Amino acid sequence: MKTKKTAISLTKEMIDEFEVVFGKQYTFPPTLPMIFYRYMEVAWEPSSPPILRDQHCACTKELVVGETYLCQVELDNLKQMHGCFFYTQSLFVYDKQGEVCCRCVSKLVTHSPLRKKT
Amino acid sequence: MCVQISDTFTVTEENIKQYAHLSGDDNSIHFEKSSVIGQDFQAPIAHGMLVMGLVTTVASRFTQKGMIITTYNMRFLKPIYPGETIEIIGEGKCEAEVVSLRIVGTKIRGEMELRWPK
Repeated sequence: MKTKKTAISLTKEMIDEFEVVFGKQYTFPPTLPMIFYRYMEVAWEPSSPPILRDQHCACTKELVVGETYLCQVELDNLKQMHGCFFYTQSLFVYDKQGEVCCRCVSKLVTHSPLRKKT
Repeated sequence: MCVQISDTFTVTEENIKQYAHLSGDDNSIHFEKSSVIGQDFQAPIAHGMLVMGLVTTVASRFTQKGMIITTYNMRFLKPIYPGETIEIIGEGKCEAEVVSLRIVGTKIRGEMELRWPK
């Protein structure tokens, strides 16, 4: 299952807010795109709080302030084991050439199945 | 091994609030004690992505020179609570174009690769 692609511009304000939490950034880390979730509509949600188990972030191109990116989240690897529900959410960030410049893969677990957001 | 870096940081409730605002992740498990009942947690926990961002300071001697973190993985072994101090050690090898760090910390394990921008 995938979300629609959402256009998100990386602004100086976003970086300023990021630096309030993490300090001065000399180069942008590959964890930066995770703040794009704030601006995205994800159609599914867990009915109980999810826990992040594992995170992988990779950027093949540096993000640039002032640029607009297309972002999409993909849900897969849903599994139920030992009374828990495991799933993977991948955030893809595309540049204006349509190439993936960042990919952030989150492996999560929750105690209840995912449901469609109303 | 060409480099060994150690660092400590403390996750505060203020960090957690700031990261929730930055990312839009207001999952109740980071704020409400009632949400951690049944999860085997002692108290609300810090965001994994907050911890991951704070740990990037281990690479600051390289990012200050302009290197970019191109890949960054982290496994969250145990929950981290507000007020908790995390000790991390980054060990790695430095080649002409690439620095590879293995990160070992209280409750986390990770890897990071840094390269010079193209």
